[in-house]
Amino acid sequence: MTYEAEISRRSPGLFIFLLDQSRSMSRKITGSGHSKAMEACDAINKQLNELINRCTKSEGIRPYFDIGVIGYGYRSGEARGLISEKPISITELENHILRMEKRTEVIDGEAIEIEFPIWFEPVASFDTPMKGAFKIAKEWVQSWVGEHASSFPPVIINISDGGSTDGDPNELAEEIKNIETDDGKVLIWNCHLSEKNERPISFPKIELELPEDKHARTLFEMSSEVPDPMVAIAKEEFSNVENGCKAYVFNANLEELIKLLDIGTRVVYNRVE
Amino acid sequence: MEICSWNFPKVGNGPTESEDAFHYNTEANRFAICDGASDSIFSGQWASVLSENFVVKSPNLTDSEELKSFLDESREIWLNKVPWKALKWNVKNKAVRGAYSTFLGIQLNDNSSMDCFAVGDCCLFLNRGDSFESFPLKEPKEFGVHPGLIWSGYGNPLQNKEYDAKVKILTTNFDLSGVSDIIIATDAMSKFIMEQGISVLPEIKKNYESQSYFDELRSNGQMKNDDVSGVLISF
Repeated sequence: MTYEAEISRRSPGLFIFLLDQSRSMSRKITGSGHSKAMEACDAINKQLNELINRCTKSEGIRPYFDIGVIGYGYRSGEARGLISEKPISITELENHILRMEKRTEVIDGEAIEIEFPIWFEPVASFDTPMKGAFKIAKEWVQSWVGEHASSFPPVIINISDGGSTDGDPNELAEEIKNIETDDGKVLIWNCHLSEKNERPISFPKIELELPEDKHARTLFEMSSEVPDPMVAIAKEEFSNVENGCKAYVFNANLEELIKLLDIGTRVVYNRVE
Repeated sequence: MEICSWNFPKVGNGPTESEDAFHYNTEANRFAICDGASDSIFSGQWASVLSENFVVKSPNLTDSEELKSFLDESREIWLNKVPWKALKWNVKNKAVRGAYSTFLGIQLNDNSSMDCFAVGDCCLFLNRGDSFESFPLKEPKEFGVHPGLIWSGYGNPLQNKEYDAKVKILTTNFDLSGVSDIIIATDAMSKFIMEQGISVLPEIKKNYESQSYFDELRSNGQMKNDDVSGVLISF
């Protein structure tokens, strides 16, 4: 069986988040009064916080995950690690906090103030060098898999609102998806953000389910098939999920973005010892 | 009465990281074992408080008022054990949601009968010579991922929020005539005992102090890699 390796301190998992920082990310995302850049940035910061929460024990944070975040488009044609130059252990994430915010969380009807860490700020600047971002992701994944041959395979979650401006990333994505640990091949999840008030298409099985949109087809092709052990978890949020579907949401509004991120990470941390 | 006990962390964890806890009080003939849920924090402490408070305070858990007092007192002890003001931001953010634990308590009545109280999947086994009788679960397939749990209530800063545990305790009574051994154990150990049957008892009696024995069982897949603990009472 694949995608069933237990995640432990000796055998951690790896998440890599890819974040589009191109100019078009400054437009508002459907379902929110904020820009796509702001909501995507906030969603990843929340996921990192949630991952820390999962790994937190009374004595501190246990190193169940390595984490990397790559931003692309902050400068023309450039992609780079946002938190660090390469993936770091979740135990080191707190050393890279940019600032802490006070946020209000409602628990059982009671509003309490919590400290919320911010690792990076929203950026919406230039073009969309997605290929450059996947190139960095490939290097990170190759290096990590070399040291964690029996671990749960790395999961890459890419958040973008458009097409790559530095070439077709599909071939690179195929190469990445063929990198494997003993437990399975690397997974690529894609979240295609929308500024239009149209129905999202989540976890499609075949290309025919997509509208005429070349970027959608590219991201669909780049996305991994959702492994069978993860389908049940994805079904909790998306009832249409079937075996053989792709880890892709087209025209994602804020709600879909959060759900996709949540599922993408939950399927993995369900394997924590 | 001879009592043997063991508590070992899951393979890969440190010696202080087991979230199982048990206590017994031979004067009161009370024994309890609890398994702190690893999804919550300070759950090992919560498991320890519940088991200790049961054997020390001897509440009658079939009485709703005594059950409420038992939970209120346990919650108060747990709250006082956690160093709320010294917690880091991430620990604080998680600890406010409280801790969870399964619970199994037994009261021996002059060695002739026994009252049992259970929440979740800690089990007891009675050796009746040719087979084990178990409670509250009967078969290995009943062990799932979401056992019943007792909640500590919220931590700081919601510690004063009204606490309604809504605990559903399963109770039963056993006649102990003909019973030579009683085992109470947390879930991984209990499932293993159910799968192996009565023939495993001599092996447990021989190896209960040996962490390597349990490590091997968990490493070769005979037992789930989880904290493993139990108390064996032999008459």
